[in-house]
Amino acid sequence: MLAEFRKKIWNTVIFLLVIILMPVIVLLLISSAMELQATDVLSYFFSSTIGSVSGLLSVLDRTTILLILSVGLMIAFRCSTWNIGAEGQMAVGIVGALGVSLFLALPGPILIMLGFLVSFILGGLWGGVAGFLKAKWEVNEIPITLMQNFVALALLDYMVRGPWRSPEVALGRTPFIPETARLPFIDFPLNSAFIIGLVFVPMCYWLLNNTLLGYRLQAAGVDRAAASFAGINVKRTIFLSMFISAAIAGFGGASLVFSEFFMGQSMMTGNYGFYAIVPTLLVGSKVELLPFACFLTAVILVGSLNLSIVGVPARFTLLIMGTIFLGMCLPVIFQRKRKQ
Amino acid sequence: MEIASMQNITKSFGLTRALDSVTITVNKGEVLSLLGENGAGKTTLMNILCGLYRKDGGTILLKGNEVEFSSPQESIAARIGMIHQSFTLVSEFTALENVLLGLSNTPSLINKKKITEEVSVTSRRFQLGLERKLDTPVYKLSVGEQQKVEILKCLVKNPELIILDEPDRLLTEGERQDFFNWLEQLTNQGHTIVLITHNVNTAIMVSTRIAVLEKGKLKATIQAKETSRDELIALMFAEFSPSIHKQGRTQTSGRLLDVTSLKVRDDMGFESVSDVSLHVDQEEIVGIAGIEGNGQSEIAEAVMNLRKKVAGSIKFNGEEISSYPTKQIQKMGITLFGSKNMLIQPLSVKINSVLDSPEDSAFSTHGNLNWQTIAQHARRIVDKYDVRCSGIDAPASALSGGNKQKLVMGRKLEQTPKLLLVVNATKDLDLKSTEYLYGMLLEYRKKGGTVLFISVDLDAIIDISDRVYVINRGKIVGEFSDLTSETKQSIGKLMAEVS
Repeated sequence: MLAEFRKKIWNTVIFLLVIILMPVIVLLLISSAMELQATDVLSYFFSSTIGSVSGLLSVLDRTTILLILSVGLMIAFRCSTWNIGAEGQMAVGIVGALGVSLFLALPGPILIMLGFLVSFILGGLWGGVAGFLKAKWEVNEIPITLMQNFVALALLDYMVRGPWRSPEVALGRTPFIPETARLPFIDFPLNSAFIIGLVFVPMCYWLLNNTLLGYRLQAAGVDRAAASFAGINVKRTIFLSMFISAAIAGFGGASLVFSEFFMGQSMMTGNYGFYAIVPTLLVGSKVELLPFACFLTAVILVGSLNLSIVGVPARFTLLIMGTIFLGMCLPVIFQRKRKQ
Repeated sequence: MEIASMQNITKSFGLTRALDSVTITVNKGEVLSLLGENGAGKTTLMNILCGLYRKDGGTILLKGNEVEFSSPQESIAARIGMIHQSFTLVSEFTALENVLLGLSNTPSLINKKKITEEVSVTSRRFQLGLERKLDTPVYKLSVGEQQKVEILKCLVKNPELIILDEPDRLLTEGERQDFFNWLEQLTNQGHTIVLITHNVNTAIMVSTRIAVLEKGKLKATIQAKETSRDELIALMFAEFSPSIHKQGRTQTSGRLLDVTSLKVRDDMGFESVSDVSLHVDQEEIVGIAGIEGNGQSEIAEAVMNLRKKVAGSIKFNGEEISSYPTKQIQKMGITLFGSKNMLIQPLSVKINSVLDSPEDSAFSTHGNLNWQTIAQHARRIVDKYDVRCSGIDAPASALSGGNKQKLVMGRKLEQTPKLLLVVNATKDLDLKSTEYLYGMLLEYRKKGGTVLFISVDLDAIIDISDRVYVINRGKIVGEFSDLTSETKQSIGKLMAEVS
């Protein structure tokens, strides 16, 4: 028993080391391929992320949105519904939050709460379409949610450049939302939505492990036939998993409006709906590890985006990011493969 | 001339002895039928001949030489081909692609024209009539045509001895006649056929000789011309173990389940239950006897509304329940104890122990699970029903077949259901677990429970039921309430008959 426990701990330590080591190896390979000084690249990568207070704050800022979105994805993934539409669900949430905060003359706190609520519901309904199609006719949710992204992003784009465009500026963006409806920064650029993200983790843990809904999500996710034989309404569970997951992504969209941008502009979703898939898959079913995984993902995002300063062409940053993510996922894939 | 001979073949699966010193010979150019009930050992015997299973003992001679196949490829090389009961076709692929899949030496570069030519020639030579349909996806073909693709897959490998496992199972009456004619032509061309069947009429109609198996033993090998249906049925159901469980039934009080004119489709869309009416009274064990796949399990699934009925009514305590959701039917006190979909294998014994009722007030309050009581509940089931496992956190998949079913049984009985639908719950279990589960059923009945007992094991049905319905091709063809060794023969006759 003790030996088994020790082995488990040991395995986890090695696993974490490998995951942290992989980005370093990839960075070393890239810098040698681009004939850059490896020490420059690594040290700048470090100082622009966890090596300085401002770096750390911007990493935590990115962690926030990743955390909110991953919690949502986790709920869908637990039921084996593969929601890859968080990006679009976030965009729909942004539209909802803007609609409320730009046009309703209400006291700040009420505006914020209403905005979050509307985004939550709109996001949920948007993703719920894919959930409904899957539950009703077993339509594969992956292409549906993927395609919905483009529609939702185009909708956001249209709204901010069209009817809701600020007349005062040349750029395609909306006016700013009222001062009273802006959430305060903890320490710029880290905003107070970070706290919401942190609160979401234990809530998600509780939902998945200690509630009837979590039980049904897991049962239906692992074995749809056995779950329905036990009387679980599998169709409703599938729909709910998608609805809740998408609603949380919509909620995340609202948090961008109220705590970071204070207005709407196109591309403000910043691909985070896709990046959030990485930490979610990385932790598997362990919700409690999600903050760590999101933090690591944010380090890589911030670090790679800043590499242009040491001479890495900006258009390579996506490539670097992708390669690091792949490298991180390799040990996970191997470990799960071995378990089978 | 003897083409193959299997001598003193034995084979066991766990504690079950599937074959007990069986000796058969196959002569060139004949049709040999292997006749017997489900589980008599027919398919197992032929799986050994074609290299799918290893025998435990005995010898196999092929044209006088001893052989030992360790894979189907080796038997194909020795020109033995087997067409299995369940189709192994990829439904999105065309007929030709499916035939190609079956070849062991598929060339890496496929010359489609040449191969189409070759396969067409084979199809024409054996009059399968598939030449024009080679490019049709299999799902667009009728069941009869699909079977022909399966046969073509076998014939392109040029076998001399062809084994067919229940080939007429899915065919309509017209297709069946055509199929028998075709078999005759095959033998005229010098092929030898072994036909596995549970259908007495089929056996008499097409065979040269008939070998009757019962419970892994060879009962007799007879010339088809010299036997009769009654003789064969008597041989198929010869052994009768007198009932050990039977207890005098208490007076029944009132009707619990009432099914009238029920029609249900199976997964393929085939109307597998057509016009079934039956009833179950309180504190009664009612058996449904029938050969597997005659609509029994669909009846139970329709009662639980896991399968939509096409027509008919299902009443429980006088209330029409067929439109209720499964959960509500469960709450009314009906539960299904089957052989599949009972457990979520990768999840723990603990999680599985409340699968039917996590919303029960003992296990959750306001939507929050109470893991402590769930764990206690799991431990109680494990102790009370003797579920052997390394702990309640072990995944269900780690349990043996018997222990899995004990866990399910415990979970079902702890809910004290009013009506338990048992559907082949002891399938593939060893004798000890089977006996245990039957014992629990009788115990449960004693305490006032009611059981609809669906099984392919006729002995078990007669042992523990108070009343028996016989089902054949989706219809109730008989009802017996006085169960003796004579009734067993009549039931067997009804089960095996083609309407």
